[in-house]
Amino acid sequence: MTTVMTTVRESRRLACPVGRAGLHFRAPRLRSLWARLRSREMALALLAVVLLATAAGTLVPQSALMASIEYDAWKVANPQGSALAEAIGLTHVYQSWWFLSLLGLLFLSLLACTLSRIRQVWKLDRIRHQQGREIPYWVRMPQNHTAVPALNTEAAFAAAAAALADAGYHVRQDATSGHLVAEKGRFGVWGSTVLHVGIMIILLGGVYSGAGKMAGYFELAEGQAFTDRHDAYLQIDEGPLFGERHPEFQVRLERLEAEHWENGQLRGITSYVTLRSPQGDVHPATLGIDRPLSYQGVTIYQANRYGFAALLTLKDAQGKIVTSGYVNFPTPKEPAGPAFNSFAVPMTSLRAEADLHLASAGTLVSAEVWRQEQPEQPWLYLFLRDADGGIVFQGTLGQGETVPAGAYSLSFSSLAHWAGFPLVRDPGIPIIYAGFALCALGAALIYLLVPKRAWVWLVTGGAGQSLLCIGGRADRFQPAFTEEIQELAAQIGEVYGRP
Amino acid sequence: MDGLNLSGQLYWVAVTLYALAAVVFLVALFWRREDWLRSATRLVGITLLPHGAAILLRWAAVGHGPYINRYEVFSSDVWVGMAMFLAFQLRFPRLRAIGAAILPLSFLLMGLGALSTAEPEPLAPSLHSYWLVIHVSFAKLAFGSILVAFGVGVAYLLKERAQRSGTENHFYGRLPGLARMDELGYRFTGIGFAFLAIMIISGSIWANDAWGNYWSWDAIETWSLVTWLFYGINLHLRTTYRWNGTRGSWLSVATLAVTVIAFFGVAYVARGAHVEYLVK
Repeated sequence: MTTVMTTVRESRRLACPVGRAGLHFRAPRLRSLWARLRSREMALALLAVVLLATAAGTLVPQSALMASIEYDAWKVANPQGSALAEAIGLTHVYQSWWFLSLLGLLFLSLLACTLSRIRQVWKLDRIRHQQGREIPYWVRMPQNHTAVPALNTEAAFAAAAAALADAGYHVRQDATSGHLVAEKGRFGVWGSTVLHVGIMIILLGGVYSGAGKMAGYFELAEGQAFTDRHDAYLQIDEGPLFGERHPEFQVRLERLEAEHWENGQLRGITSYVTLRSPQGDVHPATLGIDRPLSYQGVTIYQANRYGFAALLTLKDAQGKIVTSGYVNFPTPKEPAGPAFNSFAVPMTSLRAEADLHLASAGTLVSAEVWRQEQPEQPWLYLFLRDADGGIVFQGTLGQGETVPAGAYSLSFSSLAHWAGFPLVRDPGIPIIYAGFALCALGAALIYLLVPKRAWVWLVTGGAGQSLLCIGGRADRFQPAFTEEIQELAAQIGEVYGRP
Repeated sequence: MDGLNLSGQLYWVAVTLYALAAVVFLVALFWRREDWLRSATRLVGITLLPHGAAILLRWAAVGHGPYINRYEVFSSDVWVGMAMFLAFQLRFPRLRAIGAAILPLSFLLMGLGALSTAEPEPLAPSLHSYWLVIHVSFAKLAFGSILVAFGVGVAYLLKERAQRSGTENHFYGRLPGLARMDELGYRFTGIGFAFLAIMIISGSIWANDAWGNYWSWDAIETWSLVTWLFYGINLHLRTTYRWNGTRGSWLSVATLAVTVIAFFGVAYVARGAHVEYLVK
């Protein structure tokens, strides 16, 4: 006897509505611009263009994302293509004015759509929640609800309320008409708004991060100290709003331990450091590749650049020290070869190229050699050149040895471990993470909390028979909701259709 | 026999059974044999056992989850995709036929995985992070979701074409109604969109934890954003322009294509942090 049709009625679509915006401008031009920005066509067109531009950046080599030597090699290999790509800004897409402008426009479009949406969703949510006295006319239409015979009307109502409550609905009874109003997933209506607000916050956080971020890189050998000052970094990148706010603390590398897997690959690095604040407070700390260290508003990371550092000293003819310092040799990828470094000798016009060997010449070298805590026979093969490229010295230099080098003498006194440390101060991170949280929450709200409303009421059928009607609507996935309502109706009819 | 060897043999057993299941699904589809669909689905369920055992044995032998090279990544992606398909068909048994669209693709991915090196690789120090587990898990769930959405989209297109040409028979009649299939395609695309968002977010937090940089425009990272934007366009077209039905189903097919390019294709032509793990 269970009869009647389905409960199909698509909800009003709210994505990027075209109704009145949250902001209202008096100037006609601004009003027109705002209307354009909040149009669905504009939002979709911007999304598509940003998508294409983003993808284009991965298809054309990007000057800021690769080593200059590789970029130059690509230019030489593709002279015409690279010239064209450079001319239209395709070789630095993500830093280009046009890409940043596109992101700016996308932000404005999101803002316009979201403000408009907030206003509408707020009103809709309030109306829906207060609604209940009257069942929407289209739900009352015979084809839009399911009806079951209800011989015992009171029991049928109670059963419907219980079945809806069991299905997770919040059920209340309208005091005047007596019909039931059931609601579920009410807050799901905010999902899309929360997601879009999250995306906007990420974009804002990205801008703030880009403007206020400081990212630097320094290297330390065991026993060396580094003071956080602009000119002390080997590389430094500061946003325009950073304002040289260096805390000027000191980091001293006390000891470095590198662990390796059996195949020679790096397993981990642990650096034991001492931090000294400008006020003189001293804190011992450790950091590793997976354990960055936060101190005085900055985060210090452990890079996977590491190796042995040779302490070299250059003296003049009178035996006075001209310069002395560690030369860092990155651990080679191929363990059979030496470690290499090329560097300018400070306080002189000399340039050096050096190979560091950890085993005697002619010895078969394995990865084990580079894992020694303290190598026994380290030696250097060294070229020293003057400003004109003329060779000043060429030859070997063992640990503890001194060799003449033109007007100087050069000695290799000791070997220590060294490692690289990126240091970052990024005030945008909390904002970006807040945006991430909102995005995840919004996405969860959209697909986990589907707003659904159902009504249950009694009508008298043609033969004077009481019929319990159940109908409603969902904001999304209406066919599944229709099935749910039919199942509920069948469940109620099964038990309470009987006298 | 050590765990790694046994894992390799079980992997090949799984590849063979997936191939067989793909053939049975296709035969069932083209010869309209509904009983064969049941057998093919059971075969997929059986195959998950040796396949899962292969993944677990390798996990135990190499000391880390399936993250490092194509062999591990493709294999675990397929396992999650197949598990999602099985869970889906338990809830919607009338949609078993989507296996005919999903299985050949899964077999292809397993084959590509088998062509790459199966040599065990230790975990790089920057990968020692629970964010990696979240990142990789949601990548697999996102792939599984869009795989199901793709299967439903193909089933929709076939049924719709049969209805339009007046050739709908009992086989197509057993599939759910077009509106229901369309809604399921939309739902799984939406779930994939949410999973992809969590994948990108967790990857970004992990990168910031490991290198102090939450976004570096790495090629695969960028393509994950491209895929997410594509999902976004897909969902906006569905909700605001009512691109449902046939157009919505074609969107599901296109979304899978973009996902496959981002997850499995970009690593071959671009450089970046992920390439190291996906090209070997």
